[in-house]
Amino acid sequence: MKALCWNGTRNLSIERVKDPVILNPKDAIIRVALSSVCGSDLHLVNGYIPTMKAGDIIGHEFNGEVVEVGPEVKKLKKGDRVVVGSVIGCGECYYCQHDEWSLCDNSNPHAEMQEKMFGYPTAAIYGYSHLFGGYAGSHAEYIRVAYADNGCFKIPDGVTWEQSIFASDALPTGYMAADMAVKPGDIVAVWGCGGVGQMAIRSAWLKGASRVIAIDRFDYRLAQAKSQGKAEIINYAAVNVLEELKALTGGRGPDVCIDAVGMEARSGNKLEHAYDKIKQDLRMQPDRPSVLRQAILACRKGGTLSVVGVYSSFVDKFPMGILMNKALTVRSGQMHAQKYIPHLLDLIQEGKLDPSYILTHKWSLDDGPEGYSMFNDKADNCMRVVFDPSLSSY
Amino acid sequence: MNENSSTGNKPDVNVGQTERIISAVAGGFLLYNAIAGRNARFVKAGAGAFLLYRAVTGNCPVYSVLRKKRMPDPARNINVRATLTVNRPRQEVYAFWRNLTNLPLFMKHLQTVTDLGGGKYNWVANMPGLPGNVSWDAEIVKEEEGVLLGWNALPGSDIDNAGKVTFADAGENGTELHIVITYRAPLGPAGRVVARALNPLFESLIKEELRNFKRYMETGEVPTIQGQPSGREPLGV
Ligand SMILES: NC(=O)c1ccc[n+]([C@@H]2O[C@H](COP(=O)([O-])OP(=O)(O)OC[C@H]3O[C@@H](n4cnc5c(N)ncnc54)[C@H](O)[C@@H]3O)[C@@H](O)[C@H]2O)c1
Ligand SMILES: [Zn+2]
Ligand SMILES: [Zn+2]
Repeated sequence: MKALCWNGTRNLSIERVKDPVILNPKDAIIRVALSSVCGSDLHLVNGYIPTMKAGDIIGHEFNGEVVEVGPEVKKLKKGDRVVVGSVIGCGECYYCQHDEWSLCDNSNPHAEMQEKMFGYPTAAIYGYSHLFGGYAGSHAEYIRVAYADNGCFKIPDGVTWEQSIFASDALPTGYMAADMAVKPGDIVAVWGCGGVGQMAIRSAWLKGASRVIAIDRFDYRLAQAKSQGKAEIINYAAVNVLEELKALTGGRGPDVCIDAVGMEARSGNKLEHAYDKIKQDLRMQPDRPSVLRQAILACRKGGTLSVVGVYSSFVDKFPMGILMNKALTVRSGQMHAQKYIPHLLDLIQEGKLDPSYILTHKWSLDDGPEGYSMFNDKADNCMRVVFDPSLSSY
Repeated sequence: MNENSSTGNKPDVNVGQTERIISAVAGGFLLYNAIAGRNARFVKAGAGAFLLYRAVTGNCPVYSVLRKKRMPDPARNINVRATLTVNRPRQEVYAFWRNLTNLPLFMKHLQTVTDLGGGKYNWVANMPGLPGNVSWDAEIVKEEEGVLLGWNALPGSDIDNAGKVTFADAGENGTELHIVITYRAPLGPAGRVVARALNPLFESLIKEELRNFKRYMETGEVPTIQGQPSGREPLGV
């Protein structure tokens, strides 16, 4: 089959590889219908996540059709249309059973590697480095899904591939960002208006926010936050974010600050950006924390910081004293896909939520490398490019 | 010696104390590094803590369980300590472990475990870094249903080992297992250097097999990516 492989920093290519097979009794094989890029992939592509190996198939946000099931798969059958959570959960460990799927004890074959780095292993993620299990990703014609009964969710009747694909990753991530932090009546600020930020904005309303303020520097993304997300907007490249947020909140600051940007944040302050970028490029700090710093300053006293933007390990100049003295609460995590997907698919079917507007480009898998450079450069007003392996590039 | 002189030699006892403090700090630092995985010899942490415990108490938990009189030479012994929690009821976890012939189902380096009767079992394993298989006979020397299991290798084994597992309720987390395995590397006195080099590998192998026990008990399978496609074996066009 065809697959999009990572060969090194900013080096992707389409390769012919063997088809996946069932390796464990609870596995299923899915014929991929749609597979999306995600901001998390940019951290891999740009070389900021360790333990990638040349030849790894990337991609983790996808849906498709079941074509084969292992002997212990009970709930699925050939022909089912499913959306699959990007995070792999066994369903049996303490964490899965407490709906904290991204903390699964058992799904990561490279648990030892994570134990050394994190103290304890976390769940595996498709196509997301060997530290996170080394599972082959979804930018391919077929993918093997582990613990398939837990990872695959049937797409309700009347819901299309385009409407359901983001229930795999961007939507549950944005939803979890709000679910962890937002109480009815809260003023919510969201840093980052990519797919994840857009979904966080929608979810903040669903959780009862009284106002939502979105921050980014790309006008087309801010425009979507406004038109689709009904958010007030701040262009961080044009104004002072802290002053603007104060002005918009009667001098109190937002109750909830959501980081939907992560480790490749830019800073509106050129000096701060240069400092973080140089240290990151010299590998003196793996992550650039300018959004975290700003959110901690901006947040109202006693407020909550909700971090779903991805960080790999250490950050520099973290304002711990401000966080502590302002009595802030921090919530965070890779998202618990399996906890949220059923509810989100219901909302989509009921017409209460339609994430498909973040699908701005549908391309052939052959165009994977170009798709990633467009997404990385935020060119052609790209929010998310989605690959359809059945399309051929001409 | 003038004890009141501020320029004279310090009393011996103070020097001794300083040295003790320095070595305690250094020891703690090494242990910390070992625990944090900064040091290639991180896997010695368990053995270090264990030996420390023995040194301080003069008591070896494994051998006291096995009522063994003779303490083996600690320099040649490897002690692996592990603790894990399995999300299943204690009786079930105990019964699964006690059925030793099941272990090769999921412990990748175990080839076979054969019941020889009378509480004796033959074990055959394949150790990375060693040619061929190693085998040993071991006897269950202590058993408390649902609580404790202790074994000891019989004379003539390729690997001289002893161990004990205890099982304890952990509320809604399931069952806690505390495991101590003591063994002497399989190469005899002549191969001591080689054995030292292989020990971290053995320890990480034992811990991985314990992880596999948990994975198999909880989910019925061991996660793997062996055999999946990648661009490392391109098919060509
Ligand atoms: N926790 C999870 O489970 C999970 C799942 C998916 C994605 N993520 C993470 O969420 C983040 C966003 O993903 P995405 O797909 O939306 O990525 P994206 O690249 O499409 O969007 C990121 C946005 O952040 C903006 N940004 C950069 N610096 C900023 C700043 N200082 N202030 C405000 N905005 C800034 C960029 O302009 C861009 O629009 C990534 O870090 C990704 O890894 C986490
Ligand atoms: Zn993602
Ligand atoms: Zn689990």
